[in-house]
Amino acid sequence: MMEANTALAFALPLSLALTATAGALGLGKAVAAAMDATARQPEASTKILVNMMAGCALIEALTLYALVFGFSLMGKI
Amino acid sequence: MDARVGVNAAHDPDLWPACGLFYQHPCRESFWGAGFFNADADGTWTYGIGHAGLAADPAIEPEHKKVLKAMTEHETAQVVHEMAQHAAEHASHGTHEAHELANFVTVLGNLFPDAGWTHFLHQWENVIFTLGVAALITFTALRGTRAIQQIPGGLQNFCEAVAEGINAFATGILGPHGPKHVPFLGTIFLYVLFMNWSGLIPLMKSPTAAWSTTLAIGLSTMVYVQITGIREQGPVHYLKHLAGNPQNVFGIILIPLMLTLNIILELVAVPFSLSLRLFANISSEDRLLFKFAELNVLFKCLPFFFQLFANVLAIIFSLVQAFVFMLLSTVYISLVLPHEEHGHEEHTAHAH
Repeated sequence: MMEANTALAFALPLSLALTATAGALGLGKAVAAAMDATARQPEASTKILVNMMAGCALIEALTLYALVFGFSLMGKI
Repeated sequence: MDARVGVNAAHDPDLWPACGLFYQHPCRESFWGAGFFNADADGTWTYGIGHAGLAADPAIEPEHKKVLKAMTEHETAQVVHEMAQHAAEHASHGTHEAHELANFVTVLGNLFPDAGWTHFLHQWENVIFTLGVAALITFTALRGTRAIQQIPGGLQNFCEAVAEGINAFATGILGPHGPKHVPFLGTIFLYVLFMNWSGLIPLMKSPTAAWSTTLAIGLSTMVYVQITGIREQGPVHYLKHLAGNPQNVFGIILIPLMLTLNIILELVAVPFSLSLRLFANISSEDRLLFKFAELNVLFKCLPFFFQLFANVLAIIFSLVQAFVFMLLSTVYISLVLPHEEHGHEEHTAHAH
């Protein structure tokens, strides 16, 4: 039988790693698409960069929600 | 977490699972007061100070002596109880484990731990730094616009460049409505940017690393967006929009659902997502800087270049986060502005 502390100590880093993996995949997709678009239309690179950054911030915010959640649960260990 | 670095050096790692209680000293720098209790297999308590060198710190000396004096099990249990209460008290006051670099408020708090005014300062530290940033922006703007010349130079030139950049950005998204919202958007951008950056200055702190600050900005953004919506669309159209634009009987039946959904999405989700995004980014940045500084202390400045890298990263990401906050505010404003063409399209789509 696993104690709650032990379970949390295993689950917190794993859950953060899981969300970070998913976030990295999403960011990779966004950046790849932006790079393609920049290669096709170099004159629009500033606009594409701004839009990509907004998207990237939205994607990585999800990972950071998991981080905040992890920090708040870390107090229970 | 921090205590374990020291604990590992001082104690047998096999005893880790038996670790009974972590006690964080009230002074915020955890590696100063990283003491802990360890329950051995036979039920006796041992006490360890994480770092022998740092344990000589005068700030923890009385506690240390107190613990070492309590040799019998009964007394130790009492001290454990006291300390647990103390720790719980501090946790409820929000001054638990340090996770940021020390600022001048915490330094003053360590110098005068029993003075009432340092406690007061500590309670209001976010507000103090927020006001400092607001004062900086205000005085810069006042100085830049004091003697306006036809050919700008120096500070006026800089202020004009910033204002024009923000104006161009807002006009690019909001169109002709843009310049009206520049004061709000520009304030948000500069305010958040300088609050993010202020954590990189020694003895300063990022107020945005606390949720209270970012939630306040998020809530004011939400209120501004809703007021803009009411003013631009008119109260009737605004309520219709909240009710999901009912066109027929089916739409009227769906009103309760759409109303709940729209209220949650626009009044609750907007400030929450805005504030949590900023808070999570900036607080994790500060934690990263703190951890690297801690490693520098523990490992003789070896990870210095990591910290340099983290600092550069923090500068860039502070800028990006401030920009994203402004961008999302602009997008939310653009969503509540009336779109004649858009409404027409929707209408024809329904007619088909």
